[in-house]
Amino acid sequence: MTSKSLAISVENLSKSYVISHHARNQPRSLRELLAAPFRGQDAAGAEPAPDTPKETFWALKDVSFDIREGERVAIIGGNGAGKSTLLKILSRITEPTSGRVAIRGKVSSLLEVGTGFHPELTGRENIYLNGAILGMRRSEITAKFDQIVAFSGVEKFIDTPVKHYSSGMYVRLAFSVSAWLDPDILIVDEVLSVGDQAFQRRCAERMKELTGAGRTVLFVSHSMQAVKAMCEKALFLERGHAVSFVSVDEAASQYIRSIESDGADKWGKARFEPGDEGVVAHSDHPDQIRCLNARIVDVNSTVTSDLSIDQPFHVEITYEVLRDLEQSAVPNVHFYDELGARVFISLPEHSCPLEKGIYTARCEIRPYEFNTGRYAAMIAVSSFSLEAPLHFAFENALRFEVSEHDFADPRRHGWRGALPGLSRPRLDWTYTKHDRRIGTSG
Amino acid sequence: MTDKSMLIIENGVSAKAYWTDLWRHRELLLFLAWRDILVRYKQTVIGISWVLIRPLLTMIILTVVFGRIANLSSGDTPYAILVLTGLLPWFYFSNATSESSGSLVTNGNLLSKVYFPRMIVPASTVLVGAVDFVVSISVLILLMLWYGLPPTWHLLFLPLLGIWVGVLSLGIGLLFSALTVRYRDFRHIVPFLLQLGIYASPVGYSAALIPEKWVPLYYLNPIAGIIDAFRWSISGSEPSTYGIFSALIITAVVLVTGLVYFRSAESRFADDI
Repeated sequence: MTSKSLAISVENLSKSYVISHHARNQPRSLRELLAAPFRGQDAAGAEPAPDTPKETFWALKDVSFDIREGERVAIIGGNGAGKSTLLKILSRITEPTSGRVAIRGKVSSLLEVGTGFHPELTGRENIYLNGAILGMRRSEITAKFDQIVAFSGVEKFIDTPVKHYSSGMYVRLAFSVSAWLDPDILIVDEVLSVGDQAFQRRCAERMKELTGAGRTVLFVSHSMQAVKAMCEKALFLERGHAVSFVSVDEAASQYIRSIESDGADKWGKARFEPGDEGVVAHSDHPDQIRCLNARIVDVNSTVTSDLSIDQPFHVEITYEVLRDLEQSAVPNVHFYDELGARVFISLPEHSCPLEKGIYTARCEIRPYEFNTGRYAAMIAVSSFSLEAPLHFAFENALRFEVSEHDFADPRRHGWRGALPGLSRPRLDWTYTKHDRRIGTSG
Repeated sequence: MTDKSMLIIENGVSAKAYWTDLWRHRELLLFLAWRDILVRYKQTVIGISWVLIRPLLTMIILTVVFGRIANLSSGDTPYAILVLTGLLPWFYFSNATSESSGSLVTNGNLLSKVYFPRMIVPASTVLVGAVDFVVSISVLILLMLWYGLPPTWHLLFLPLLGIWVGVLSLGIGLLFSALTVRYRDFRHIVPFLLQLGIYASPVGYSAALIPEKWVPLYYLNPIAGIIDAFRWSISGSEPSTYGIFSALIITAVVLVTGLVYFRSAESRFADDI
């Protein structure tokens, strides 16, 4: 190996998306395309009418950094900071708007495990298919096949269609294929938290093996703990800009400081509409369900992001089912703390009705479910089909702050300081009096 | 770790290594085609025989309608052979074209998660159509045995003609798959055009029936010339030289248009899908 030559060199990398608030700038159906000239708008949408509100959103702006061979670098930043966009450019899924990246060596990215898995195919068939999609050669897959199967622990079911797998087995098999890729540069996006504990340990060990041997690693995670354990340096992104590229400890504390210095008014966001700035959107079938808006509503039916710990509140998602659906449509809310670590996910017991129409899904959050602090919510509607599980999802769509106004909660026992933790559920406690002899025998 | 390749990512620069990249991903092309075939036969009860039943039943119906009821002429060849030599390339063309036109949207989750030259996706669906075509040739062989029609040296051109249909379908598929990503309307337009196309092509009848003055217009449909060539290779019927040249030129134009548009739109697929 040559002495520490550059593996990745990024110069002034920028990526912009054009978003317009009312009419989308690019006609997405022929009707819009054909009607455009009559609205005084160029057919290709290149020259908008002056009254069309439109702005350029820079997902990444002038980002530059160099990564040397064998370095393990974390990319940190809040939701919408540009982490995913950067990974997508580095793994060539999308093109930058300007700037330049030079990469030396073979890149493999684990942005999502199980890409291209087909439910009708057997485990064996899916290993080959997924391997080919991730860029492995047939001979390479055959050579590693036994290791992949042994690692996944699904030997017995390797010739069963994966639609009969439990979700745990499915994810384990999917991760196992990725785990046996052999790139020079590995890009990982939080895929480690899959499977049961034993499997997670095996993954962590495999990641260590993979990241040894002079391999360059780029790792994206919300967990500062995981980042610190795995990487030496970190790139801290904020709203598309590279804030710093320093040691992982320093970057992590900068990141935490930046969150703390954000004003409360900047944090709260009680209303959401698709197209809001800083919201990352995902969708597998946009033609089936369209998100209209989402809100946080307190106990007085006021739309607000300032909530009280001892009062319930609601998250409401309004969406339109554009045509009668075959798959289910399950609304769900993912709550994150202010660092972006997931607190919990909430799902209803039943799917939304599948007939065409407009629906509002309401989720009631009980008092003390959240501790005091700042939280963000991703709103989504999922179909849970294996190949295209998402109708839509908007990361960072809503943000709220939970506070405690009087400290009269009897469980505080007069204590006015902080009670740490993300949740403060009202659990039942009991006391049992013991016989003194049992209590003191030791 | 000695032969590390250098990769440059810049706006609009992906073109440089595109074709070598495409070659490096050739196995993926086969895997995607293999997946589609495998899945189709796992999901259907009668499996592979479906590829045979469809042209066989369609042939019977078209033979009865055009050959018996309308009593159209088929020259020296049996009407059933005439129909089948039109149907097989037509089914190949229409399946390959409609599948490849929708292929990018159908495989949207792949496009937004992994990099590979996107052309592989529509190309793999054309390959699936080609496999079906090869299988369906067996119906033709059976029918030729039934009528005691001896093969001639013209038959040697059959593989070449099969490749021709594939190239034409790929050209159209590239164009429409890229358009479908942008304008979802094409999902409805393509099946509609194909539905009309079967009447505008000499599938159920012989192109020799077309009145002289309509011939130049008629052969603007490239499939008409290709079907003529098929009939020539199977039953030796005289093709329209004009039709074949017209089809060759149109195929070349369609392929180049498809390639150019696809390449120009390709870098936006992941953002648009």
